[in-house]
Amino acid sequence: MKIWRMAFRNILRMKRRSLITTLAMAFALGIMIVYSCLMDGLVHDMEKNATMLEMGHVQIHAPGYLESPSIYKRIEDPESLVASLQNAGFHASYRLFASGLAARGNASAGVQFRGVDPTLESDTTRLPHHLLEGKWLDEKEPKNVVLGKRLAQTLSAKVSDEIVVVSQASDGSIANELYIVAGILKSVGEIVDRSGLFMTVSAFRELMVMPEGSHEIVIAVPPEQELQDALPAIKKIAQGLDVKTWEQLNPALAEMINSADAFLIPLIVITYMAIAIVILNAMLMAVFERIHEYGVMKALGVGPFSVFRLVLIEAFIMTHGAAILGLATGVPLAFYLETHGIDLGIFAQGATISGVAIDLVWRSLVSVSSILMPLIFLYILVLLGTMYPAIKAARLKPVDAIHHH
Amino acid sequence: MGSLIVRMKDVIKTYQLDGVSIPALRGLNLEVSAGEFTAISGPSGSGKTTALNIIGALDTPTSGIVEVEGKDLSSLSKTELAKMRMNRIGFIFQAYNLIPVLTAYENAEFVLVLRGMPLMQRREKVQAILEEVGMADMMDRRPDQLSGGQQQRIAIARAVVAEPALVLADEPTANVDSKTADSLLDLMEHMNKTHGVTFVFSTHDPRVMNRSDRLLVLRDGVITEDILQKK
Repeated sequence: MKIWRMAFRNILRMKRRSLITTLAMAFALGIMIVYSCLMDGLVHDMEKNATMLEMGHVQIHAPGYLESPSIYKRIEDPESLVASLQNAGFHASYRLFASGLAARGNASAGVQFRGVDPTLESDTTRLPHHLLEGKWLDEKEPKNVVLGKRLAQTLSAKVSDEIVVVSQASDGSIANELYIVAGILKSVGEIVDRSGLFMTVSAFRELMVMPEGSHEIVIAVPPEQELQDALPAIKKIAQGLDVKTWEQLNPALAEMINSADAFLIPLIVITYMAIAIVILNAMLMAVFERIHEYGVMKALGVGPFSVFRLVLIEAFIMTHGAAILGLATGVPLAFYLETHGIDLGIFAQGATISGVAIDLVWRSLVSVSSILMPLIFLYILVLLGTMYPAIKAARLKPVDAIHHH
Repeated sequence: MGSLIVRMKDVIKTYQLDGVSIPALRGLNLEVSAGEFTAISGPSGSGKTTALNIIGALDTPTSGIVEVEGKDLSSLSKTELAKMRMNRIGFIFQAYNLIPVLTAYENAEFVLVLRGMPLMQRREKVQAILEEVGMADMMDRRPDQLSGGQQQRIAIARAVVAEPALVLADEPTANVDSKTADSLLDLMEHMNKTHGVTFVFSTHDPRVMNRSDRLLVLRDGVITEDILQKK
């Protein structure tokens, strides 16, 4: 097609301007692809950390426990409930909670005792593998505890240090014991970091004089199963108990994750607006320089629509070039960041969003949509940016244009 | 003489410039028949170019009737006018006005492409016309690689290749030396005689006036003399 050839040659006429315009578009696209993948990565990590680190996909509590936690509001026979959930194909672990004080030397802090089954917890969440130093709990070593990161800092506790805990047991007696710090967790979330003191279920039962029951059952749904599909089965098993999804447990986080795209789109639009102005400027200059030429073309019988098309095609040839260049740089970089990530450790020791830890190595997540969305937006904004000069060229009066110098 | 190609009746064209009315044509009456080789002469500002622009549907009159091959131009839409220019009218401009990004061959071919003529037929026609205007060996050059005379030869080729009913030439020899002007006139005369193409020139050039079959003298927007010339 002649019009394509003309458009291509028109682009080559002003090599430097065309190159700068194309490079600006390519740069914006590359950056947006990387940013979009990084945002997806962040959201994915937040969701994964929110659920798999500690919260699980679903939690079961005794009725009223969440509204007003108490050591006496317990799930009876959590062992058989966990077994039923496991039989239904879920990963499940039960936990016990109580409050108290911990001290080491002159330092003391309010703590939340968290009794867990080391093996079940390992099977259900990533918590046992999320250690900053030391090791996870072992049923055979009931005097070992694992501390939240900030709690360890408050107590100036290191691995192998001894700490004293004191609380009121469920029977009203004074509960106090000496434990050894076996491990310190990385950042998990606000509450765990500040006050989490993990011990084995048997140690908890002994300390708090609580021979049976639990306060929480945490469930992980296998990856191949949708949470909403799994929920009815869980509710059936946990009849009479309070069953809540992670989205119900942390609605602010769920809202944030669900609306991540809504944060991304305005940023893409703002970045591309600048690019659209570059395009508009370049195409306006090209049109003004060629008013006389368009007049000649119109005199020869080229219709307004063909002139409009010519201007548009020129912009789109440059956009295609920019798309190839932007994809060729942005996608490999996004893949590189998927593997290596950006290490934010030099800026902070740990970070949380909505009380959920985020990894200090920020990794991207490359997906078709995170590549396509910036690409489609680029084309839409180029179309908008080129519309005005194209219409202007199409509406030129041949006699005025032909005598324009 | 052949059938009527152009008819202008009481054509008035007034330009508005900063609120001032400047009359260019003041009731022009003109008829041009097929096969004519007609020159319109007159002093600067007499309305020659305006008349050609209006005949070529590049501009519209303020009032009056303009017909090309019996079609009233005022009844046609912009797209229909563009189609008519493409199919029935060829233009030769003083400043050549070749499309700078196209080669000599592509410039000559341009109107045929617009018409949607098949490639093989197009190639045959373009090669033949470039031979005829003596530019076959320079067909791959861009306009900026050609002299003024060579560019005007390509412009003539472009104007006649699609066999239009009418070629409008606005001062075609104004920008070339006298030797080149003579050879261009030879060429256009040849096209007129051998292909029967109707030419209407606007000109100051005595050579063009002397070689035309018919000389119209335009003064203050009206034809004051209409002279049939025997050569």
